[in-house]
Amino acid sequence: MPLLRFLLASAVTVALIYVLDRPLILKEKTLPPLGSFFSPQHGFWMNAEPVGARSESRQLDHLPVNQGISIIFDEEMIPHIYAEDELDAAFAQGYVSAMLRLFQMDLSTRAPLGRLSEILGTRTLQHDLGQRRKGMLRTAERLARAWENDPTIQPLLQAFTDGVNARIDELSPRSWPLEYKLLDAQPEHWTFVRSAGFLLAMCETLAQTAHDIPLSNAYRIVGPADFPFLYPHHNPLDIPVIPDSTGQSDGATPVSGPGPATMDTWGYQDWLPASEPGIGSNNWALSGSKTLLQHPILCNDPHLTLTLPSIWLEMQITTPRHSAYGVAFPPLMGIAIGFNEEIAWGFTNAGHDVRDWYAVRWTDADKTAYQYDGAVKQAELHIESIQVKGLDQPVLDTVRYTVWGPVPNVKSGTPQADLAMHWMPMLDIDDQMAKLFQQINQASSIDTWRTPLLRYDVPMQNALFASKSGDIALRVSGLLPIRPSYDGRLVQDGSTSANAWKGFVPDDENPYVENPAQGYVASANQESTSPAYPYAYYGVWEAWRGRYLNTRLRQKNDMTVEDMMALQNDNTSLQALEAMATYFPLLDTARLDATEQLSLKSLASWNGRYEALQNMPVLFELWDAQVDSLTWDELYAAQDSIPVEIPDDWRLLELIRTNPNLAWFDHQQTAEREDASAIITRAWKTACAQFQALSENGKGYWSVYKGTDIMHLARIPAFSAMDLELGGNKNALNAITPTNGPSWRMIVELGPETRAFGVYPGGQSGNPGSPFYRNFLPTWQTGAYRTLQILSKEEIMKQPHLLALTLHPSLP
Amino acid sequence: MSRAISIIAAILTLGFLAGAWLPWWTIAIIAAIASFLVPARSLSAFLCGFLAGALLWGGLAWRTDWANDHLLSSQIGNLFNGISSMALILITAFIGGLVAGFGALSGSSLRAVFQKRIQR
Repeated sequence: MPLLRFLLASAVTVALIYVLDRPLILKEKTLPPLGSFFSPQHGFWMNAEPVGARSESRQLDHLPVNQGISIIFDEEMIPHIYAEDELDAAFAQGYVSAMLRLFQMDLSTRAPLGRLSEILGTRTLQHDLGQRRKGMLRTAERLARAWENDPTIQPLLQAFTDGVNARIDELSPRSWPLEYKLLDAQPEHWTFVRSAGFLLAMCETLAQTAHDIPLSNAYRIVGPADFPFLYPHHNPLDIPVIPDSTGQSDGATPVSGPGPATMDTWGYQDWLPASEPGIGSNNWALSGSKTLLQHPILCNDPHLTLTLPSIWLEMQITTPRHSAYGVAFPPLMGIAIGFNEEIAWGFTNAGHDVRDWYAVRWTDADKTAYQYDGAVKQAELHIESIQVKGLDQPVLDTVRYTVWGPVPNVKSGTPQADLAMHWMPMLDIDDQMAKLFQQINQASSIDTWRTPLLRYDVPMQNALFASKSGDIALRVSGLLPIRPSYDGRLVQDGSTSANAWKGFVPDDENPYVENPAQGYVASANQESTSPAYPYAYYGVWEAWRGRYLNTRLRQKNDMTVEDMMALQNDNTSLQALEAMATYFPLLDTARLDATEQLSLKSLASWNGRYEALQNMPVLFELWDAQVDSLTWDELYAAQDSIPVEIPDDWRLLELIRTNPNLAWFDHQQTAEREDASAIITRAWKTACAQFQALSENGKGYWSVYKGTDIMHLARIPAFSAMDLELGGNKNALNAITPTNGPSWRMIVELGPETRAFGVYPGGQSGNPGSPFYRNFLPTWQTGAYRTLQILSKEEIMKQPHLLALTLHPSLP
Repeated sequence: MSRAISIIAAILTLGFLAGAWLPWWTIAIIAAIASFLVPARSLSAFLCGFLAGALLWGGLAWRTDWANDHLLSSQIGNLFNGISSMALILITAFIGGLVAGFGALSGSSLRAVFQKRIQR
């Protein structure tokens, strides 16, 4: 009897432990193993960091560093790194990045490489397949090999990698980041492929904005005559990034007609990679002649998807040769946007189209060979293997590579043609990106800043410069393809080599300006040059922010840091102002009822500012959207079956002003023949009704209507900041959309004593259990700034700080 | 009474020390050893184990949560259908208690097996 009781008790105990030691699968979600997750000495409680911690010192020995490294974390958890050489600095950067953002580094590089399913299971399998079919992992591996073989990159990136891995090796399951415990996953060692993967992720964000497929479909719908009319290349009102951009070259490549070579009977219904609207940035630099104190000022606010933790990590890196301060991408070496003791630098996206699609005609039923230059060419078949958590066998997939690149979406059966992707980052280019930031961090003049940019390939950036010596400069940087006879906007015939790119614009002929007469340089994702620039190119340009910015910078010659802060937080939309000026005169007020008349009066007094708690921005947005959808109803109807590009909003306004009787204004579903005036009036009536309904539900205010969320990287709502009260709009300088916005705001005044200010929406720690997880958010949200300072080791040790780390080498 | 106190004290100290190095379920083994060495009836062994496990896990969780100003527990609570920080601490205590309780029960019943043999 006692034996039975013992067996029963111990069986229950073992069963209990067994159940609590494995993930619990409920209906919709999977819970982590509850025993270890709740254990206060193993699970999530271990990630609850004490609030108000006092300063602490720690020594770490036996590390692969050359000399001792000091890392002092200031009161806001910003690491100030003091290293004796560049290799040690790279090691320290890797170490602190992993210390503060390990899970982010892991997830944000697994995603582009198509390796999410290894830790997330079948729910991310489609994502991973999509990435593999685009050749992302393979490209990252090629880049990593190139960096391994480059003696100027390999040692630095190896030191960075060693730093990350030294931190990973210090951890045990109980000290892993919280997300690993939740997902029942584990970190793995950093490699060059991971850094390459992050670079490719940035290319996906910034350099795949091409709209070739929806534009080709639009071409088929509107016809060759209307296409250039509805989708013109150049906005005559635009103020380009480079003010005088005629260039020196005589190597002009004239753009011939945009005729796509293959217009199949099938529409291009292909899987369409999303290019998010609102990804963009502002940067500008004033020379001393434009500022009150006669000191140059550099400003930069990159608009990226807002996440927690933030894409940026703030730090100072000091070696005997230089001291740089600013923000870094945790998976990449060097400070991306910041300043040193001589200069400041920044970037915005240039938005050029560096990805073309080629229609490949298969010659066999299995789609393994295709027509090329009159012969049959075998496609290279590459097998991708995806490990999936919860599956015993890896998922295998065959990707077909043509001379153009991979075919990401091979449709089964007919038609006998698919699209191959030709994308700049996948070409066998000598990419020096891995050390770009690290080199710029050490620059002290225009020349030393510009030299590394000459070797920079992709994604194309408007690189900005200002120095204490009084220089300002802006360069459209990256490889600009030269196309044979078309402009790269439309899907091309892939059966002939005649359609291939014909090389690249020479590095010294990229659009560039230094110290222009206007006293400032500015970019906001608008066109790079005027049409006088000798090389043809295409891209997706922002039509309003750049013009508004230029207008504001021309107004004053005594600008201050405070003016710059106001400008970065400016919620004015030039698009709204110009659209209202266009719509109001055409509105047929005789057809409006009393309420609609009243609303009209309210809107007429609106100043075009998208303030969080105002309701007029909502009313205008509703009106504007209605005008757009009533005008392009034919195209929107076609969108039900295939992706179709809608003409730019600047072009719509231009057409309303210049061609109000255009047939496109006629609404298809009515017997009446509408003109622009009829469309605008009908749109107003609908918008008023929609606005009324929203207001009754308490959703008539801009911030509620817009609904900005800053989501945790793994989209866990509890770790996110939801429904934030925020103004701004994608066309305003303060370009806050529901998901994107100024991910970092920085202003640097380069006087005898540098004065620098910056803020990002998040916090230094990637741990939701840390008081530094989202502590900068309120500052950012209210448009305020923090002071940024390069401090010497002696200075910072005298100040209150959180942690002083010393990393010692293996041998004394 | 003093036996109960010694079982609880042993589980608390040894459980805390072992928890810092060994897997989370070590507390069950600690509880089993404690109640094997110190004689107690099945029910009181279970209760002592439960109390000690709950005190250890709940107490540590409470102290951590207090020092953290509920920053993390409020977010984790959200993850588990919006439960409070205190509920999270109680769940922690309950799991710790349950595992240690059954461990202790196993230990005391093993002792009973040996005692029976000695009596024969």
